[in-house]
Amino acid sequence: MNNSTLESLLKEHHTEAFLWALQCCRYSEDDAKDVLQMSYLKIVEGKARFKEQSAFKTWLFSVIRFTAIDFIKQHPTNRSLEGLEVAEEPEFETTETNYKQLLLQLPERQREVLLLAFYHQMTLTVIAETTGLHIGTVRTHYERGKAALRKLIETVEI
Amino acid sequence: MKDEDKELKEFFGQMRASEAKEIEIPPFELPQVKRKPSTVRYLLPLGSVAAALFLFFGMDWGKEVVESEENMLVITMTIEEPMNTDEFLSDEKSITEWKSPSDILIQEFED
Repeated sequence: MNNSTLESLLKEHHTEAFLWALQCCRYSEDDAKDVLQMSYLKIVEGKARFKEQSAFKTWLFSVIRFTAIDFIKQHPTNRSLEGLEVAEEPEFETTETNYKQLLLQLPERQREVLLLAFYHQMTLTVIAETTGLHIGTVRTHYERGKAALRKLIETVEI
Repeated sequence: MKDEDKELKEFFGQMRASEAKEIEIPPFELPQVKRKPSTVRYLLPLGSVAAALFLFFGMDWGKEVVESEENMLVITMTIEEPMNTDEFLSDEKSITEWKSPSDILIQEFED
């Protein structure tokens, strides 16, 4: 794949890629921008190569996910879930943050799987490719995540 | 996805619509990569020049080899014993010349 094709594909998926980076960084916009630039850098430098064994979006999301994991490991202080204090919120307002807050109450893997399935319209097989998890594990997270999110939705009025 | 997921679909649909309004997507910008010039790129011509110089000056193309007599090492081989092939000649008589040890007795009897 030549550079111009690669660039046009990245441009085409840029919005989705940024949203996914944002979700991987627990909705920190600054971190998401950094992660996305680091992911693009990996791709431009050839450290991450698209071998056309999967869809471009699957591969790109996978690169972003692993870059975000490394980024969070290197900057752990700002990103602990405890710091968000979501559980202590008594009620949720019907604003954009409610969705995030509800999702952030789910375990990380369940949240990832649900976001990829419902938000980014991926099948479970594609999610398994993106996350590097076994399809059975993905299915488990999917089912448990759905049940947990249903309960959370029931507790609040959206 | 099943019908029972309708609630979740709506949830994520609303979330997506909400985020589309709220979140500002940064402009697409690929990082510029300044490729490091490889050291091999510089070493290769230097190596070629060095090899050429070595061949030119080091090999003494077309020159006659002149050695000074002082430094010459002369190896002389001498044969100490003259070549003598007599030892290869056998003293043993041929089988046709063989005489029986009792041949004399026979002759005396005839006389």
